[in-house]
Amino acid sequence: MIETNNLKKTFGKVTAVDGLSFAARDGAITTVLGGNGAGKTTAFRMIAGLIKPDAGYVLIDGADVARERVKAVSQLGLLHDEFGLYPRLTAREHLAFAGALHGLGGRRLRDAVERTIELLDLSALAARRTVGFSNGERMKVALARTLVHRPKNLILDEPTRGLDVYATRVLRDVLRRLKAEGVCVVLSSHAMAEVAELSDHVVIISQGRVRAEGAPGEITARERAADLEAAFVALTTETSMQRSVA
Amino acid sequence: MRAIAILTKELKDSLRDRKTVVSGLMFGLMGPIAVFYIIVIIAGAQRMDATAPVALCRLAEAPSLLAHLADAGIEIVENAEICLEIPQDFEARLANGDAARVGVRGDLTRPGPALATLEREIRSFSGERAAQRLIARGVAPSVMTAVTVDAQNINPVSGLANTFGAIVVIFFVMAPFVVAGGMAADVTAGERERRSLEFLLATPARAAEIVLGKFLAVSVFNLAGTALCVVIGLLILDRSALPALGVRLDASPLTILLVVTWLAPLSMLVAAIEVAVGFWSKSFKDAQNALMMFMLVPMGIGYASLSLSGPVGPWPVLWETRALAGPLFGSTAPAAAFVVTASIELGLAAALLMLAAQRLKSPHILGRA
Repeated sequence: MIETNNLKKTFGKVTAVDGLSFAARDGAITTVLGGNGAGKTTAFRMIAGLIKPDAGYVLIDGADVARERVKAVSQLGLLHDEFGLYPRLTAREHLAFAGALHGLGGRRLRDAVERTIELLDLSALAARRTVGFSNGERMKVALARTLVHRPKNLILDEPTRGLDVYATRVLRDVLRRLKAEGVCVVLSSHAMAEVAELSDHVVIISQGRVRAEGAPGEITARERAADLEAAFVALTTETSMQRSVA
Repeated sequence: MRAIAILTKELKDSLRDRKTVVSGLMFGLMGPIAVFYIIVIIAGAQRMDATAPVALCRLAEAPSLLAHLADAGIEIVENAEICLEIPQDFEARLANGDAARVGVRGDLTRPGPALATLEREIRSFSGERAAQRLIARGVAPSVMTAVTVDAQNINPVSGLANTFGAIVVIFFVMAPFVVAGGMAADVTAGERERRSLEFLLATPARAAEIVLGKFLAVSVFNLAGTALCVVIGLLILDRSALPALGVRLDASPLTILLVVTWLAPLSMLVAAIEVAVGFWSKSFKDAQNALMMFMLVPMGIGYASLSLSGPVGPWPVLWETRALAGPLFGSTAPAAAFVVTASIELGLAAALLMLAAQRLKSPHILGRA
């Protein structure tokens, strides 16, 4: 379970995250929705302990990221949109490296690597260096690397960006499987139809603050909108206009 | 443990990168070959100049002078780059006790020994004739010489040999600065540019462990490359014409071991600087440019040290440029204790690594390159 409590972060005069609080349950997919610059990536980086919040805190399975970083991130996997693979390493070597960084070694590491290769159907790619991989193949390797240590919490920052329909389906299937296994999945996406279909809980943020949260159907009904996209536009446009007037 | 995982991954990754391997080996392989050929060319030119013949440009009778020059080993031929002009009245003026002029024509800017030998032998011939004239007039030749200069060369090697010795030392000191620059830029700024740093920072690995792993990888590559450069360099230069230039190079296994050991702390300091510079650079290109400029440091300090006399202190690079002459040439140049210099270099390396670790904790490190 991931809990953020009153997170704040400013860069110079720009407030990226302004009192962000939400909780993501185990065995559920929580989607953070927000326009460009809404503060999603900054929030995810604070959750993963990559940057320190100016105020507030993050708990991962009860461990404070700022105080117990190693314990907290040991239960976390982070996948960002550009994947960040090493072109001269094979897919299997990527998994072995990630596993070693999470403290796995020897037989445990080998088993973890083979299990993850099986989970993501990576056998055909496992021995190949990642240079020249398609975007979908790169995503699969990056996701496998994120899962090799079997984290109980998973964060995916715009994972479907640049993916074709086949790769997106693979990702969707994996996320459903992880949810069924009780993993807490938090993702950000701009594909509203997919968010509505996949998400158990949606957190809409704008200008670094939560504007609405709940199940996709609840938010749509609350805003009396035709669909989630219309509700999202209504919520975030209203906020922008209020800020402009102020 | 995590630092070891990073070290292993970086070495595997870098050894698969042809550019990194080639740029690392290029200096070690091509550098000694280039120095070898420069030495061959200069030694050849020295040999040719030392036995350069002299031509008689104006035909004249000067049997006594020519005999003196022949005794001194100077060969007189029809065409040569150095030309001796003897006037028609040369012998007559000598016989009358007058002063005779001879001309020497040639490229006087060439610093070779042939011209100097010719001039010295003509002065010697002149001195002998003057002494004979004085004796004939009942005057002791010593009357004409109030002070004589007794110059003795206490340096067993020539100035040219000294210069070549310094070039060889600077070449070895440069190795750690050249070998792993490309690799260091790739594992730091390259990591940031390919957006894999975010993955690394999101693992339980601490910033200090990441920096240590990368530093160890660059250090291993740097030490191996430097050792290879020293071994290949000494093997090639040992077979060059250095002895003809008066340079006696010791290429024994003990010398190789000493040189590599003495360069090891400097290699680690350089690796730490490269890692720190890499993490502070905005892009791979920026890091490469900065590290390329950094390669000029040992060259500048090395050549500046040639003009310094006396002890130089335990300062990085400066100490090595002096100390390496010991095992390589049996020189007695003063050198501070290796332990002091190594402590300074390793202390500086540790400080730089701490700075690099701090940099990894900054939110700016995740900004777009």
